[in-house]
Amino acid sequence: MRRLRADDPATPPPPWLWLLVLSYLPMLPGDAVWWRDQVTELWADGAYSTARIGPAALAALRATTVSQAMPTLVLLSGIAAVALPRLRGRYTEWRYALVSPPPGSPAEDTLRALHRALAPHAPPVTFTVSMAGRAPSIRVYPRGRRERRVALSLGFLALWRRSPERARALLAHEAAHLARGEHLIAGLGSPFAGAVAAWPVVFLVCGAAPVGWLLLVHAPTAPEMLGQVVVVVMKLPQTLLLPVLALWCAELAADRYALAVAGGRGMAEALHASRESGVSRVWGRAHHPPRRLRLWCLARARRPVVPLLLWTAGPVALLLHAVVLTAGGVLGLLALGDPPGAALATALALAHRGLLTPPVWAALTVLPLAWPLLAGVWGRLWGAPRAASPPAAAGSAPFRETSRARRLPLPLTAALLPLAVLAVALLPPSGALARDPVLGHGTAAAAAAR
Amino acid sequence: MSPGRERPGGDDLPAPGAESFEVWAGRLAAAVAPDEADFAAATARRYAAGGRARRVLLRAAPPAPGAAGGELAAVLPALWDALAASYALVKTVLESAVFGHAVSAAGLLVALEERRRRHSAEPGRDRPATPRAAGPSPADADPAGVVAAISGHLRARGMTPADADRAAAEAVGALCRGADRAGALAFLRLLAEYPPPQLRPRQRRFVPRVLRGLARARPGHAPRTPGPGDA
Repeated sequence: MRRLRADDPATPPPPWLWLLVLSYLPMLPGDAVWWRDQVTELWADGAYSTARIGPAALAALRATTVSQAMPTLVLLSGIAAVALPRLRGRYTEWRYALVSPPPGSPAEDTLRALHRALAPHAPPVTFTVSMAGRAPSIRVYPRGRRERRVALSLGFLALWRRSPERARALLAHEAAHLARGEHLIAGLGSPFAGAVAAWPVVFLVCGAAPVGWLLLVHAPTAPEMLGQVVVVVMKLPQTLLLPVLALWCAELAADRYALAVAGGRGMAEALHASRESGVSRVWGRAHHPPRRLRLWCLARARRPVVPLLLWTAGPVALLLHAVVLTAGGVLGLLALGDPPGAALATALALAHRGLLTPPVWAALTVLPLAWPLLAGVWGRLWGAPRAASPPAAAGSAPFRETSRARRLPLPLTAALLPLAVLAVALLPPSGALARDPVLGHGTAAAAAAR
Repeated sequence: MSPGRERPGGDDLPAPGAESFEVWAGRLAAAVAPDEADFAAATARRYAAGGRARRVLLRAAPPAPGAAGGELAAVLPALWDALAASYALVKTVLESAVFGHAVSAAGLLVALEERRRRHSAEPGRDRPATPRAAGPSPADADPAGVVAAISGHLRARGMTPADADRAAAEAVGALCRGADRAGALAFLRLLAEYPPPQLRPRQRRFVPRVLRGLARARPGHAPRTPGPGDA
């Protein structure tokens, strides 16, 4: 098994996106139980009723529950994207008016040139062309488990002639996604990316708006709903943090590969052309990193900081998730009337329990260490060509560390953070969670409070 | 036949003139947007077919924001639409024996500027209120008038004024320079046989102005068609 260099742009970072989607599978049974309990409590005269909290508050609670369906929807859409690639491909082709150019068409020469340019970097693909007057320049999508397609816009075909350097950079970027199997999860028409992007809108309509309405109508239970507001508000970053970071990592790694293949100028031109504003700009953040961050990473592509960030993205995300969980827990418990010290202790205990969710922490710790050995296997799994490194773009220096003897190898450096996370996770629990009257289990007081 | 309905037989165009159709599509693309010559005939056929194929060609696909490279728009769909909308004017010019074949794009641009200076007292003349003019006006039946009309339609599709003028001038120049004016007219007739899709006047009344303004401002809805030289 050939070991790939960690700082080589041909070596993909650990597949955080795939790890995230696979981690959703063991969460499904717990989610089903949670939803069963919610429906029972809110719609089957369970713990809540109009007599106890008033009709307005009950309606608001039910509406906010809809917003809490979004994390489940993100989870299900991620699994569906992988499990139903053919259905997704058909829907994507219909939605974007994608057609396969017939043999003998004038565009055949252009498509042959695209195939030749793509072949060293990605498994075999089929090109389709969007017949819309304006469409995304180039994106990948699946048409089956092993059938990969690249959707081109009419504008991209023109760009190939007009600005081949920029077009090659975009092509190399998409090739990197194909070689890592990311087209099954992300890409054009991805239900996963769509659900992640739709979450803020659903939150505003079904999460924040009902509580705001309660406050406006001066409902008597409005102040008590503030705790629910905190829960719903903090649910947004908790839910989105991991999938958004995973999607961003995939894009930054693909940028890095495209830079190595096509050079900095082509990639920079492509990124500048993607400037957006308004709603599109905000919406795009859900599944693509900000343009500034991408340009920052491109400027530092030959330094170890970028591959280090990509290799430690998983543990970093887990730590950030724990921070968000702690902050949300503190705010929610304060809203319920807990003293600050007890709220902080309970929230930290909640976050500590979240870090120990198996097997996530184990995978996040072991994966960066083992990845140099596994990366080749992963690439062959997706049919990536056996290229040692992408041919360096004309005029660009090769990617090499200048003084490797003075620095720890990248995998070892990248493993320090997950080892620190593991050490924190293995600390003994403080017991604050069990003592909490609301969140603790197994006490009569807790049962009465619930 | 109501606007936007598909041509009977779907994508099949009449056999006579089919070769001229592709030749003229390529000729116009070579003059206006050489980078898009590969799919000139395909897009012209889809436009001429009408129905859903034409609607898809003229609109923006659902946005997929954030990706490198953004969204790219093609010039030819807007050009076919502008030519179809200006068919009556172009027909008048092409059938006239007055205008010879020695027509250059640069000359047409100069003539257009002179025409605009003469009509400077009537602002908005070059930009029709609706994509289709009521009919050819005798004052517009000259190459500069045709360029102005086509440019107006291209601007309505989001092209910048300078690029619209240039594209229109190149297109009219290519049409006038061709020896086979009958073929050119046949090509344009196939494009214009079914009226371009648009909001009917009674529909406009029920679309609040605010929503129309928001729709125009939303990225992707009214695609900003780049000029032929945009990179």
